[in-house]
Amino acid sequence: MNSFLQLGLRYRGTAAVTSAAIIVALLAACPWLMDTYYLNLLFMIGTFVITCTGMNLLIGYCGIVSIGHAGLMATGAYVSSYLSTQAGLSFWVVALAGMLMSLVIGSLIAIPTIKAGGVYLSMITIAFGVVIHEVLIRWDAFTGGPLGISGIPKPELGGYRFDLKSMYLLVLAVSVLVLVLIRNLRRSAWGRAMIATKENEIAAASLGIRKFAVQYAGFAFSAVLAGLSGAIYAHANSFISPDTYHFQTSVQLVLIVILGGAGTVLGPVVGATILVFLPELLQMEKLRMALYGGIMFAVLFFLPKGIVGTAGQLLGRKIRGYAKTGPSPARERNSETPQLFAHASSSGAVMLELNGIHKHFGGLHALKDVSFSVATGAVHSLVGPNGAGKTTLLNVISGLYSANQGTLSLRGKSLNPRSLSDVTMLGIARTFQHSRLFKELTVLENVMVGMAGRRRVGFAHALLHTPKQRRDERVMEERAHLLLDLIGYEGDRDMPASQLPYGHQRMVEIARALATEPDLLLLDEPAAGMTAAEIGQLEQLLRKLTAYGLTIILIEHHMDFVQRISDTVTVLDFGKVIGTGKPEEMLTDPRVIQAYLGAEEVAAGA
Amino acid sequence: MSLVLQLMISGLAVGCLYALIALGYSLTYVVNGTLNMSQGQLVMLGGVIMFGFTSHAHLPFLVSFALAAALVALLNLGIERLAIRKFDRGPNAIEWVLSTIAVGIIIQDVALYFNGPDEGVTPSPVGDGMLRIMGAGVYWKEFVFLPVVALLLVGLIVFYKKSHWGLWLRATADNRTAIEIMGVSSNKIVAVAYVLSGLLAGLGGALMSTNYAVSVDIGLALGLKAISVAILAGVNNPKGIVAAGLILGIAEVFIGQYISTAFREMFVYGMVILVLYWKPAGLFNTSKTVIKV
Amino acid sequence: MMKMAKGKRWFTGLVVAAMVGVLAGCGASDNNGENGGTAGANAPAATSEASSDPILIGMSTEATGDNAMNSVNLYQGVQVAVDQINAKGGIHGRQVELVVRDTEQNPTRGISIIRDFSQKEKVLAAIGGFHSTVMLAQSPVIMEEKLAFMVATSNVPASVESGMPWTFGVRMNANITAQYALTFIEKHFQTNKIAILHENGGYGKGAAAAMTKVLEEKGLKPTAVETFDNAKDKDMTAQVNRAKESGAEVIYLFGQGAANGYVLQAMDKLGWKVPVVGENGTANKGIQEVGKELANGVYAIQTANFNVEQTREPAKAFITDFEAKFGHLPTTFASAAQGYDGAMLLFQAIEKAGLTGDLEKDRQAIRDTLESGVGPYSGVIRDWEQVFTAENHDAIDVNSYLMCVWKDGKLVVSDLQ
Repeated sequence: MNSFLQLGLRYRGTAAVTSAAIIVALLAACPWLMDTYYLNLLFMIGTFVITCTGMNLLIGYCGIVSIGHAGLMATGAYVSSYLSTQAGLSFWVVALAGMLMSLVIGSLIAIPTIKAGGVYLSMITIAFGVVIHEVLIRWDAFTGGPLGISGIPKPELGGYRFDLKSMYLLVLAVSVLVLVLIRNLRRSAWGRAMIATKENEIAAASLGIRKFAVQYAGFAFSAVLAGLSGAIYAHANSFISPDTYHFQTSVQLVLIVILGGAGTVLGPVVGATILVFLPELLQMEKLRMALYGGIMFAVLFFLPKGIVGTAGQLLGRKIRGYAKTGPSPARERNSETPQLFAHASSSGAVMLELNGIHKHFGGLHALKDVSFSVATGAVHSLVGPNGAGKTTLLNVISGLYSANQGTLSLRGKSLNPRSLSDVTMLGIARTFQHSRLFKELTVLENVMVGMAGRRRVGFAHALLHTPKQRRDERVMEERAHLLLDLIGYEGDRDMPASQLPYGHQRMVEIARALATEPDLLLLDEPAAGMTAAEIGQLEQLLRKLTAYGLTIILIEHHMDFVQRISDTVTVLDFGKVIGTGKPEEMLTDPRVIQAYLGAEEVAAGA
Repeated sequence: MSLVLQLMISGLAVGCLYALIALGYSLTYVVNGTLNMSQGQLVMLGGVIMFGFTSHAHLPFLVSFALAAALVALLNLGIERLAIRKFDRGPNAIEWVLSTIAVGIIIQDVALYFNGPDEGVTPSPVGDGMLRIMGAGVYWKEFVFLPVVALLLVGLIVFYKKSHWGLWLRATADNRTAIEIMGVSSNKIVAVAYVLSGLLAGLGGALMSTNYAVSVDIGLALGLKAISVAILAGVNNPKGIVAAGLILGIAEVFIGQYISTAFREMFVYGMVILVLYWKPAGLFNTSKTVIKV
Repeated sequence: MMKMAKGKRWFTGLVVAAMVGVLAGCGASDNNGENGGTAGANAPAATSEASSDPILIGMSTEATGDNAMNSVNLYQGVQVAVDQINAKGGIHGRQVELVVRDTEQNPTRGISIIRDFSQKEKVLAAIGGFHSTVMLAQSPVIMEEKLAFMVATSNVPASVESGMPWTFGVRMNANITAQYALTFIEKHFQTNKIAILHENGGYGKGAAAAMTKVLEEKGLKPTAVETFDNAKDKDMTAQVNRAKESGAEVIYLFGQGAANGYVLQAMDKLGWKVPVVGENGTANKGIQEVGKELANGVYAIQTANFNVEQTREPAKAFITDFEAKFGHLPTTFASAAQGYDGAMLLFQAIEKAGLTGDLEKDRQAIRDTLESGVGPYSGVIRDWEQVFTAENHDAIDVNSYLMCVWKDGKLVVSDLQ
């Protein structure tokens, strides 16, 4: 039994494709297997799959719950219908026009929405949805007002006029295409960047991922798909009116994604099937909507990952269990790690210089006149009691905060980062005090996300899985493996990062930071929570890195570790620099001891 | 002149209601960052229950008023417990938005089942007479909104400033972790916020039913309107919300009169959207440190 | 610990699924008229000649949504017709059964329902059409499925006009209504300065467009056209004031229920009293609920009125049966009467056409009979000789109207016609 499964697993790629092909073929045969009632239902499912795959991207990968997407469907439907009824243009042309207009409107919506977050974001999308609905009702001349647009011509192709059967086949083809696209996207740098930004905006930014660009891409994709779906619906049913595109419809779209499972490829298919068939099955005259709401609630409460999501999770664990029992393919240990840091800087002796840095938070003066230099290739530690301002300083250097006063210079040039994602381009990478690994991504993918900033892959390439993109992926994968080897990670690399033990998490985070090809690495308490053995590994890693020419700034509390590893130590207390010098000197300096232990202790010890 | 006054009064009366409903969102949002998306349906319930008690059960006005408000407050307590508490994990947990929307759908349909689809107006104790101020006409039962809502708001402010529950509510809004460390159950406090929010909704609905017809389907539209108010003002500023509600009510009437009734909604929403581009967090929002990513 | 939580989840998930299954099953058997014939494809229907097989008529109604309380009148009128015909032994000895579907006021649902009627339930004909946009969405599909459909309320002219061979209207066509209204207004109020106040849905817009058109044909214009949102707007001061300032002397009011009441309130506040003429919207008790005494004197164009003694025999029988079945009078007279007459006409057509058992042929025969030879028919609304013709699928013309007016809180027949 086991070996049979092993065989199945090895060929699971081919098995999946074959079964998918069979199912699609069966679906394509439906027009001849069922009556127009059921065919119409399948058609509806198809249009929902098109829209909701876009929404799946938006909700599942980007974490943006838009409750106003009916408005974008409406845009596609109305623009295309207006053009085909008034200007007599062919369906194929107007559908494109509809998609384009949806993209434009979607972009307009994206701007305030992405800037906001949380419930605000959803509220804003609701408001936009309502506005578009109002426009549909009021702007008579264009939309036909509340009675909508009638007599929309069916699509024609070289003299052939589409009917329900052919529209269904069209929708089937588009749905399959769209599902393939989103699957491609998930396995690309864009997909990873989206998930990273959703999970942890700040960590993603520290890797050079610009939140706006990534989330806008999601918006754009979902807008175009919604527009297309709207145009198809309009031309299949010959009639559209505003009451098809109101708030409840937007809620339905979200429900389909959640019900199926946000972030899963087949989620929208399952969700749409249930949503379309449910009203047909529930022919009870009373309390139907209540049951509908109840089901929605039950899904949210009991199956937060949706149907496909929950099933996938259970199966995934089982499959991984089986897969592990076999021998893992041996990987060539490549000792070409130096090429990872080809950026060996010609930066001169001083990497980073701080001069008179002040930082206020309202009334709190967190950093007071901080000045010191960090030599190239050195390990420079920042120590000081809690609340001294060490992390704040790191945040200023990495661009998370702006200093109120003072200057920074990197490699002799003035450093004035506008944001966290800017500094990646300048060769600065950092880790955080608390683990900010992307839990949904695998260990390997986490490291690969780090490369997203430097290697810009086109969105279209990612969608279409072009040969260029596939090559880039392979290169990134290789590099990620090398980095994981470098930090000494021996475990399962395809495991979701959420399952890593804490010490490993901190190390993988460093690998991820290294993936951005930095010259300057900022580490915020990397040894916190590590065992002695793990700290030993950390030490080895840091020495290797400096050997490659990296400069490291380190915040730490483990004093013996600091002593062993540092070239220079800067001590902070209450936001001021008490001193900068060699570790032995600093750590026995009475002022430093006083700062840590307090005056009485010093007097007692003296 | 009398026209301007007429419009002002009409606008204020409606604006009061908007403010009251939107305030319900704010009360809970400041405490734990959540709100009940079905607030509109709660208002509807307040109105429908009020109408039912007075017209079918023939209970006295004030008794019905209090009962309607109390029942809705209780319901909101239940909603918080079931639909929100489980999902209130971290800043990105958005499931409660969807679960409360689902609750709204259920409430509306169950109300339809028990109440039927008819509309009703609760007889107002001040009668149907008209008050004329400098030529502008306003019904007494409509005019009475203003002092009643003002009284409610004052009551609310007093509660927040003087009672110990109010103190805890403000403290939790400021720093939830600290409150828990002090041994106060933040869950209980969130529950209180929801009870208050429900009370407001119930009172608003009951009040509304004395001058406007209520039926089981008015909830959704009200809720959406209130969301616009909340977005405009910034959900976490109660005073801003009251101001925004009143402004919106007045703006609607004036735009309708002087610009166009057909495009009034679009103008209003257009304003909301412009505000969103300029200040995505709302006009009166109290922002914290800006982190640049 | 984790395992237990997961197990609990699965258990509850299964319970939910089971619930859905049970309810779906319950729902299916809740149908009035489960045909049991879901055999696929477009295979010609098996002979349903057997005399015990019920005659299936599709009933497309709006049970949920903000207009449900008015839509139910149509459905109730049809039900009375079904009871009466079955009491007499049915059609050709076969009982009539309604297949009822709720459109939820959703055009997409409406479309699926037509296909459901035609393909899954295999009805002979259908009736409905309360909600205008649903009706508009259903129309092309009705044509595709070749199913005769009786439109019993929607006032949109296009649903039934030429080019739509399968739909028939027993309803107040907005154009015809506007003609009747204008004649009435000119005759009894000696003016043609009309302000149109309407809700921004299909109902209101359709009526406004029709009245504007009718005025234009006489070289006139409405003095003002103002809109309001039926669900959201509570204050109509702006709309009414603009109408007042435009110099209007009559208001043509097309809102639904309470919204009309708010219009009356605004008029009261502004101290402006002019005649108000409406249709189904002003016949509904919502206007009286909100407006109270202000509603007295407001006109409503209907095709029937049941608050008064009925003069016509069919109407008497209808109202007796209606009250016996539902315990009260219809809340919207016109819809109830139209539902009844529409259904009766369908039955009469089925009777005259004779059924062969071939579904396609039967449906065609019913349609043809309706178009050319269903009359004469004596209904609640009036007596017809011809009913429909090939060029005119609207049964109701200017002479079929009954002007009603609110008096002492009740809608009665107006002395002025």
